Amino acid sequence: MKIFIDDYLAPRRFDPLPLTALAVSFVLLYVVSVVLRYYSTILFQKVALKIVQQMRIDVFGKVQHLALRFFDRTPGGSLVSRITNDTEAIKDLFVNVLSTFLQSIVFMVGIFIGMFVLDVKIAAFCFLITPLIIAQMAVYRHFSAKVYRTTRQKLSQLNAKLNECLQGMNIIQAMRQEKRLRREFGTINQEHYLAERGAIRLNSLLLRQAVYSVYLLALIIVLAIFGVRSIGGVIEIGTLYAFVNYLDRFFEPINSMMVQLTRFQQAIVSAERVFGLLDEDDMAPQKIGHDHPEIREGLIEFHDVSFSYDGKTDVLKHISFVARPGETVALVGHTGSGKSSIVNLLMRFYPVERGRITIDGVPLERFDDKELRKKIGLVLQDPFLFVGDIKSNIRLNNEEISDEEVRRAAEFVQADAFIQKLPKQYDEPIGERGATLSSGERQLLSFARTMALQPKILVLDEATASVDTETEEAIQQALKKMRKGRTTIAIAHRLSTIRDADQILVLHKGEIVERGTHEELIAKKGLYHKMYTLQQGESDALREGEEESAPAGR
Amino acid sequence: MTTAFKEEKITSQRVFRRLLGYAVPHKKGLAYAFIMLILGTGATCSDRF
Amino acid sequence: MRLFLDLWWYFKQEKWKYLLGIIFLISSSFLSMIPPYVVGLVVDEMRSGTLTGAVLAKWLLFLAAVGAVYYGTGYAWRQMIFGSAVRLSKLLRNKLFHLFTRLSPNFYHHRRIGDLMAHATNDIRAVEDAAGDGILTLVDSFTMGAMVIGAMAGLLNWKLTIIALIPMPFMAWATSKYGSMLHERFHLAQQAFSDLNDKVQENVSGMRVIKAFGQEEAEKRMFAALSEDVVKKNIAVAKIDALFDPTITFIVAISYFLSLTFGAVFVVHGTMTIGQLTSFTLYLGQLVWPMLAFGFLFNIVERGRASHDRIQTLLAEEPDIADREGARDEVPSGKITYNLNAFTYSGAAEPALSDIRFELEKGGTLGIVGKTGSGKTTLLKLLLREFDAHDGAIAIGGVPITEYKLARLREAIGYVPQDHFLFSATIAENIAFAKPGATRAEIEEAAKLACIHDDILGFKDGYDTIVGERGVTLSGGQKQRISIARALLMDPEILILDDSLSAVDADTEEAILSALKATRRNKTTLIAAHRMSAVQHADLIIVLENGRIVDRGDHETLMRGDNWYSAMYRRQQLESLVAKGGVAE
Repeated sequence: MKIFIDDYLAPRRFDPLPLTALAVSFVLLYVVSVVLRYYSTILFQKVALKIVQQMRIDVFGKVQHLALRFFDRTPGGSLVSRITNDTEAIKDLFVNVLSTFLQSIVFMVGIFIGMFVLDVKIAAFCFLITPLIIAQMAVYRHFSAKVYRTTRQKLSQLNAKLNECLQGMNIIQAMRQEKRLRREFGTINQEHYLAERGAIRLNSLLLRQAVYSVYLLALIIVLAIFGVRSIGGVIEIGTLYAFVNYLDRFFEPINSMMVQLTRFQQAIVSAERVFGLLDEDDMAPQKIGHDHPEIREGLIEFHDVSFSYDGKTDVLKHISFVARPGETVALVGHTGSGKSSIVNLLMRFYPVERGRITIDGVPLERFDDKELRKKIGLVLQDPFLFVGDIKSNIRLNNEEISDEEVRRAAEFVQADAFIQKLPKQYDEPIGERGATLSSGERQLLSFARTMALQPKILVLDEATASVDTETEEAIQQALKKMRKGRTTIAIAHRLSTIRDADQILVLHKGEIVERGTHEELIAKKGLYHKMYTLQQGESDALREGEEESAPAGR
Repeated sequence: MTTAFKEEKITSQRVFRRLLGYAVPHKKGLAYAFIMLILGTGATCSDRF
Repeated sequence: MRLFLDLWWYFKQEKWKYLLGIIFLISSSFLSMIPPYVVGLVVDEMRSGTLTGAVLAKWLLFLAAVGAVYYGTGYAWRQMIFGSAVRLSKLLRNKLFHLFTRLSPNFYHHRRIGDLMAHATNDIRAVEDAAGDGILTLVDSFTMGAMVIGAMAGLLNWKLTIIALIPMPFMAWATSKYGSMLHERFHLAQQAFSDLNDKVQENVSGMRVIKAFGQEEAEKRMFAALSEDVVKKNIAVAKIDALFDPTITFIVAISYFLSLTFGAVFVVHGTMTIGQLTSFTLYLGQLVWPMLAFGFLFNIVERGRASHDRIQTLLAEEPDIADREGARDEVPSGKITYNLNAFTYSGAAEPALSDIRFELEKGGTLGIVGKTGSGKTTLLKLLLREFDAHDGAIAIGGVPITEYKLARLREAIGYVPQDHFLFSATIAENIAFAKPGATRAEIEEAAKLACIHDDILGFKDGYDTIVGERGVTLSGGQKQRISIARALLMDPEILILDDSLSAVDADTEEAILSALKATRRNKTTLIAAHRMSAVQHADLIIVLENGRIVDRGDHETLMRGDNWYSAMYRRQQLESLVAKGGVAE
């Protein structure tokens, strides 16, 4: 364009050939530039997304291997939001902030090169405004960090207050505190409003207006230089034209960079949280040693095991027992007596710190994770189902298990009957947490899941959920079948179901207070006897009124 | 500047460096994008001539 | 655009702010027209060689002055327009909150808190955007567009203006086209993201099963696949998103090209000077923003309208429990009489309560027992008028409770609900919730009665310990006792304990109950409980089943018969024995 104005338009020289060449090259240049810029933007996005994906996979992978202890103390919601929302904010950083910055800087450098090619002296003058812009950014960043922090803080206070009030509205109303809460909410709302106003003030003082002022300053400088020169002699108008145009363009990227600065701040905060999770060192217990022992018999021994979750109060005290291959050992006791802790240790969810647990004579910590998970089948009280179908919930992601084996496992636990009744049978989709199935059916599915593994050792945390009598019977029969030929550790809530156990351990406050077979314990007339008679009475009482679940009035 | 603010600045720098560390395996892609960007921008800028 | 009509009341209320804001905005736009024009003039003077130092200095000073004024007006309109917009959101938020405090539990039965929160956050934000950015883009795109075009056509050359504008409609068309494509793909990307979110949610809540079955690696693989999907969908979005910039650049370039080519012709013909051409291209650059703003405008207003409608529907809700006209402005007192034929929750087929009739003398204690879902809580909530029973009446002192002002009725009642909800404030503030002016001595007194005083002293900051997420985590029993203290501090004539002792051990329960008996002389207490021991000293015990009273009497009479109450009582005695390790006291 400069060539056009200076060489052709100003002297009024119009040769058609070079002009056409000029026009064509102008359009071509633009096409090339547009295409290149399009692809570079996409490439940037791709890279940014890949980076974030990597980060997500890292965090998620890390979380998989954290100790259960960590999940006990970290609320699930905050964990989820770190893996997804916080990484999303980081995505913003890579996708928008970094690419905007890179693009803007390249753009600005390009424009500077153009200016220097046009006229070194004037370009050098213009270059002088760069520190001004950088200073402006620094000032803005400094203030905006503070202002935005308070705004965010106020907003989260506001939302927290609102959320809390909505949750406790019946209390507020019952205690006639509506007016006071309105006032309190009004105060926070006002504070939030003032913070927002502060942000607006800051933005109107330091963003576009300020950049525009610098732009005008630069324009004035350029005009002054050219003006002074033109008084002394002749200047190239095209150069001036190009300069003014460059200035115009130069300030576009600056504006977009300024806008991104606040996002940058936010992404850093999120990244800090994500890295905090990545640096978490409360890992799940790891295997020790390099050999790969196998579980063949299923002989379980506890030697003087004590355990504490918090390091202060022992939930297990000097627990010793032996479960011989094929035997059933039942754990009974009141809530909090330590039954579940024994299971947690045996499953190696928590490390054994005091005492020793061995399987087939080999210390628990020397087994591979895979071996343990394959040979010890755990049935949990809450049969957690995954989104998917029936088959995938029985097989889980174990490709070694064929469809036939899935079917056999289901038949074995008598889940086959109800699965056959489903419209799509084994391919019946299962929604979130298996809400479409009854709790009994869910329990049977979780049995099938365990049996599909053909474990050597069975750990049962027996279901207490009220299920209809028909399913209840199926569950009991299934359990009986499953225990046959396997070493079984069973937590029993219904004592009637473990009458035939080889050994019953009665736990109280982390200690084994009674042990023996059902008959021996009944004869002893101790705690077990009391619990047993209690439950006998209860089942009588329960039979009287089964229909309990009327809608609970809130 | 308060010490708290300084400290925050230091952590944010550390976090930022670590974030950039994630970009290292993609340096090739980034370089391509960068070259394209420079060429594209160069093409746009040279329209003034 | 209907949104602007809907918001008219606010614009009217803030008319000066908006009017001034718009005036400043327009003058800002106008001021930004000046520099290109000045540049053109200066260039022409340079060309003709008539430029003198004085003239140059004059123009440059003029430019500086324009810059200063621009800075001022720019600051002013932002303050006014954006300031008004955030004030609107503050106003709406207060309105919503006010409404929330008036609506009765029936409303909260049917709404999820997350949804209500969304109204107060996202929807209000969208309306705020419309009242701020919406107005800005509206005014900007129209006035600035008109001014720029006017300047180009009027001051410079109208023929060239038309020529230069030819490619612009293509830009509008392309951006709107991209917009709808983007919308679709963006939706898919959001879907993928929420799938990812669900997966993580499932993973975290099913961690025990995952660990038990050694599924960690498989879960990682699935997560990787899902996040790959997210990447793919986002790249699809990026492919469209990245089109905007180059398209605009290209169309603007075409426009430049056209105006230069034809401008050159005009220059040659002498109908235009080179300086004018220079200004012309500068103006052209300024036309890009109004064109874009016009596109944004539709977007913002559309979103704002949907949100505004949602907020309005919510604001139209009327509380279904309110004071009747001429309601008594006195605190009710005296005998409590239930004479209910039936009460049914709205939307339920079966009545929750039927044939509930009993009398409780002032100073008496009522025990309510029965299985979960038998109607205990409902019976108590009716007394609080959380719901109104229309078939039958409940009276205090012989006057139906609907005759009293709601606030007065509730003044008489201390309520300890089943789900003991505490606020994230200090323990002292929680106990003094119903009586914010209470002295520390009063608070401690109430805490002692509720057997929580010693626990509180055990916390790091005593009564100033913060409760909730940011502070100490309390056990269920501690929370229950704090809510009891909260109700006791009111020293109400009627105290309602809705299964409020379930999480405290038997001894503490006994201690609290006897403390109540000692301090609450001549005051009425209603206790619903799962544990029979909590009601055994009551003057009247009623046993509920499926919303009906199946048994009534005091502990002795009930124990004499062979009924649910006596069976439960014996069983629970045995149970507490087991809990103590089987050692009889």
